[in-house]
Amino acid sequence: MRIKMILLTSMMTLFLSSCMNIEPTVLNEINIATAISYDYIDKDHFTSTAVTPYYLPDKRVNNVTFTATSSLSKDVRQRMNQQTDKPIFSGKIEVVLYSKELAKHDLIRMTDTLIRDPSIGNTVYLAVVDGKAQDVLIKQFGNVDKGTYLSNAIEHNIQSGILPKTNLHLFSYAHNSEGMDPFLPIIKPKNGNPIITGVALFDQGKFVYQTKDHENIIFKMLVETSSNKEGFSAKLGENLFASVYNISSKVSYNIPEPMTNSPIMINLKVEAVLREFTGEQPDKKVIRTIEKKMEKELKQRAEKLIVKLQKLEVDPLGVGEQVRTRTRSWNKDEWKSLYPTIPFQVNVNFEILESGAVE
Amino acid sequence: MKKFPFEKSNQSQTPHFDEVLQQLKESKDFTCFTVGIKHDTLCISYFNTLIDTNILHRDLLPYLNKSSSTLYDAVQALPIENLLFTQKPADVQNHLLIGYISITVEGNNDQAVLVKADSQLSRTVSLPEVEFSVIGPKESLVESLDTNLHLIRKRLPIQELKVEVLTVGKLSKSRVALLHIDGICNQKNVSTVIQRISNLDVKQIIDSSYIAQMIADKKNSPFPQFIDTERPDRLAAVLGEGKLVILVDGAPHGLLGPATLVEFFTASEDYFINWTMASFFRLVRFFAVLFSILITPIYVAILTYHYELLPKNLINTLVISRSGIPFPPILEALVLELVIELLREAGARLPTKVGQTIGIVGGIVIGTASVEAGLTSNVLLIIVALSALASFTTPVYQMGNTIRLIRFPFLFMAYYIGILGVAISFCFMLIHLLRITTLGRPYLEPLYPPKLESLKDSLIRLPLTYLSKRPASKHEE
Repeated sequence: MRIKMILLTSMMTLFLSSCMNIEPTVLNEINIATAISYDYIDKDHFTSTAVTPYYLPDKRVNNVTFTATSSLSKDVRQRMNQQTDKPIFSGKIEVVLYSKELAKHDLIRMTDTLIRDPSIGNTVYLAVVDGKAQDVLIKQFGNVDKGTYLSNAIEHNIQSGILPKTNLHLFSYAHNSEGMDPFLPIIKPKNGNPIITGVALFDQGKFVYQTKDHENIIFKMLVETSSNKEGFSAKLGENLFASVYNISSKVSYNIPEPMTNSPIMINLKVEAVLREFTGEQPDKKVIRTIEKKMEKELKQRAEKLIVKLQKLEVDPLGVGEQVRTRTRSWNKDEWKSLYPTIPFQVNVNFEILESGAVE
Repeated sequence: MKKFPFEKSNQSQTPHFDEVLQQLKESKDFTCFTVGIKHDTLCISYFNTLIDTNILHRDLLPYLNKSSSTLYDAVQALPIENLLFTQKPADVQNHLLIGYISITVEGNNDQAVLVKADSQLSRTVSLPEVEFSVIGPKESLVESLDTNLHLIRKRLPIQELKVEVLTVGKLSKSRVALLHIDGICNQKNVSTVIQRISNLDVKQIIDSSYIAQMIADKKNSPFPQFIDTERPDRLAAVLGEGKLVILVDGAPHGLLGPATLVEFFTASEDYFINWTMASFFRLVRFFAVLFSILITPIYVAILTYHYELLPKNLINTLVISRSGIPFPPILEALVLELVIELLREAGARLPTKVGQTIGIVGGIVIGTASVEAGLTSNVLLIIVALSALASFTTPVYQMGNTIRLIRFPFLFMAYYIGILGVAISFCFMLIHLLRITTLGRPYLEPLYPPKLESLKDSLIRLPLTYLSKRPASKHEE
């Protein structure tokens, strides 16, 4: 009886596991794609470029790119595999780049394959390239693998730079939410070097607007509770400038009457460290003035940005979601028509925590 | 106990003393000489290789009363406490064979006197070698049962410490001592062990490990179910916890049971140092064991199936170390694991000095050379060496062997279906551990079934003042 049980169990593990159809993918016998880019050709076709690192024994990394044109991205992989000695696998993809041209059409169709593939993580970074996406991947630079480089670049800009948190999961979440529109970082290749320039805003899946330099920081503050190593400066008066850094901000919404035309209050609580001040050693009173000026500056920038977003009829801040959570009878279409007409009021509470290590 | 054929025949025929002596004389180390007394002749016989001749010459011969007329009178004045009077020839034979001197009257088969005179040739008590500890007592058990009992009894000078002695083995007639403290130890366990030991039908008991293997609840399990220790202080300590101790004459290791899994990761040094350190070291040991079992299978699984799981910064290192290696990860891992086992086996069989050389040859030469030759990846070499090292952290030697053995099924399953295989193997191991009992008690106690009281001294060790209560699992039922 016992022998039978043992036999049965081992047979089960033997035969049933054969049905799982898992094929070995031995690490050094595959090409691990770390980044993929998509470029627009025409309505149905696109060019796809994958970059895979070749690790040389002397610890150098050679980035090899494969390019293929197709209408379905898995089909692309087949075409790429025809060019290489080892099969290409997509499980380690860190970054997916789309050209602006492609983003202007529909990105949702493109991200579908990423979401469907279980080997691709939800934390993959997506980005829009201002120009040809291929260019970012093709040029060899530095001694690092391209995908890792790009993902590190985006990551540190999220942690302490201008980018709000973004990845595949958040992108599709924002897209699928009824009161929210997605956004992605935007990269501009300059001599092949990728430079993160701002945020691309989408209306559903379609690219509509690219934030300007002065909008980046306030955009991040409005989107999420964040901390920021970067600073920003404001003109306080004639020849009087102050700049702050180590900003941490907290955003909260106050919606007294949701789903009406009544104003929506956005409260922004900002804490920062004074880094540069052209005037004399600031005392409490001066600091209070600086805080006031900063508050005014931020309020202006924020309200300007929100008006712009309303004009574009996109809602990357997720105001719709905020309203939805406060409304019993939420109506998507009603909100859509309501959104551009709502007056927003931004209240900034700016606090300077310390004024530096000056005697 | 079963009767042996020759013993049976002896009893059925009831031979006379003379016949017994005649039979024994066939051995050349048997001595028999006569001493005359008033009317009769005394026949003094013994194995000169078994007795202490000092006793014969100093304590026996000078005091024999040659003017007496009976055997009884003749031995009256002997300054020896251990005089046995017997009328059974079989008794004489048995005692002669364990170092007694027999005195009989020639031609008279009524009575014999047996004088204990066995020579106590034994190692002196020395430092523990297997379970050495920097702090604490430095005595270890020796091959003599009496010395061992002395070492334990002097630590527990109470009348409740009971010693039961059984004789096992048709040929070896080994004395097996069973120690327990009355009132603390579960009486059921005592009778179970006595029952199992007396039911043993074996020819020889060479070492205590024979007993451990033969009276275990699950004889086919790779997990040891009795702790094997050479430290009398540890034995005395666990006797106080209500455990049983089994000592075998001729074995420098005592057994203690019922043992649970966590106790195999307990070193006696744990009690000699501060509880914070002791707890830390214990946790390190448990981590080391898990690491030792799982790390190579996980390496094989990830490299064969789950490249997605690797952090992006680690891929570089792994790919470079694997590049140009002609074998799949499983073969590479198996070969290296076997090499480590080879080294261990060779080191264990060779004398210490040569063993060191083997260690150097194996560790440095073979290791670096095989990496340079491109046969193995250096990452795996590190992993395998570390896991071997981790398996040696277990204070009980047998447990280390078990850990090294059960790694292999894990490896095969990892190769077969990846991490899932590792998980399945781990489940099998856990089920097996849950099913093991030692003397009827669950092996995983106090982890499962959970016993809060005993947890104080399991994965961690709380201060000694907290441990005054006996572990709940050993309470008398």
